[in-house]
Amino acid sequence: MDPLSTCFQHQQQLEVEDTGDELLIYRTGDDSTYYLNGTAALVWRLCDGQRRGADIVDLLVDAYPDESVTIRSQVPEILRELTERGVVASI
Amino acid sequence: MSHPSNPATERVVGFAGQRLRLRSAAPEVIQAVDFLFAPHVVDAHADDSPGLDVHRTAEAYHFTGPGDCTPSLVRLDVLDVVLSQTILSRLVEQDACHLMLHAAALECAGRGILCVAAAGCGKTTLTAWLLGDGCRYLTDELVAIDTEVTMRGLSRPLNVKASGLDLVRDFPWLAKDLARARTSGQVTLIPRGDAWLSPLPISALIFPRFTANAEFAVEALTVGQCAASLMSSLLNARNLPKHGLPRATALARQVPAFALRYGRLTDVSSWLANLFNGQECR
Repeated sequence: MDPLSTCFQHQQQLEVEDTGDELLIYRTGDDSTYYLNGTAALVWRLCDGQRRGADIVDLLVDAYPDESVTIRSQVPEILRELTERGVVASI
Repeated sequence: MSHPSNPATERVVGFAGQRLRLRSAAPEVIQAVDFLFAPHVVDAHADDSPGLDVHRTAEAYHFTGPGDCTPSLVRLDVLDVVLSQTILSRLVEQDACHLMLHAAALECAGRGILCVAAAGCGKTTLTAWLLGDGCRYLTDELVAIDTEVTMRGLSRPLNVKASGLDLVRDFPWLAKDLARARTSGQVTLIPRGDAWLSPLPISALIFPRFTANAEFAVEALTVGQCAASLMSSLLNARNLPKHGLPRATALARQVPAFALRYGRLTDVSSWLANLFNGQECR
């Protein structure tokens, strides 16, 4: 899977708690909780089933141009990890 | 329906508003409940609490009762530890009011310290050590937290695994308690006579991890990090609204939380003393 060319949407059966910049996601299927730091939480919020990974990168680079190098390297990794953890699904 | 009480064959264990009635014709089972949960044994008269029945045969104890956490057959030599875990599980599965956490808890100079760690992280050994600093024992296993951020501990004996026993045996403040200790399977159960039984406000959350020869390190946790760690030790998530996420987050917002990595118990004592002298607690 190439995260940049893939669209992502939130998985079903999740409970989400917003603590400010961070997110807690509880997966009801296996009673597991995941902590997302500020960057991962931002990426998760942008997974709306319409945007590809590349679109998410572009949005974040527009918002934080000084962090473009970090964003381009981190977002694909974050999308892979969110997929592995079962809190987003590729479509 | 009410049942007539019989002190020789029945006990009711009460904790955080929950009750569990245990019945057994085997005297050692009743004695085990008294040994394990004496501060929580309540009047059994006219009690209609959910029941757990223990029947002894020549080879094993048979546990029967509702719920999916009741073991059916128990070896004679592990009665104490299985009985302890079964009663604890049954109390937890009934509760829909508290955050029920797998955690240790201590009272230190009027402040409540909640010590949350996975099994094998040294939670019981650290708890036993801190008793030597003048802390009072609440529990080394189960804490019930209400919406006012006040906690109660299930005061059972310290459950010391074989790996920690040599160290704990040398704690002079446990000498009297060790004389009354019992062994069950691989666990030594050390009763603590002066346990703190009243509700106690939580002043600090600590997430300790023993690492041999490690330098002492402290990390102040964010609300999200703390709440996520609390969720991993939450035992009754299925009973709570949104699986306890809002309650765990509220607790994390109100109480400072720290992850500790330590190789020497004395480092934790020093850090806690400094914490109480500073402004980091509630």
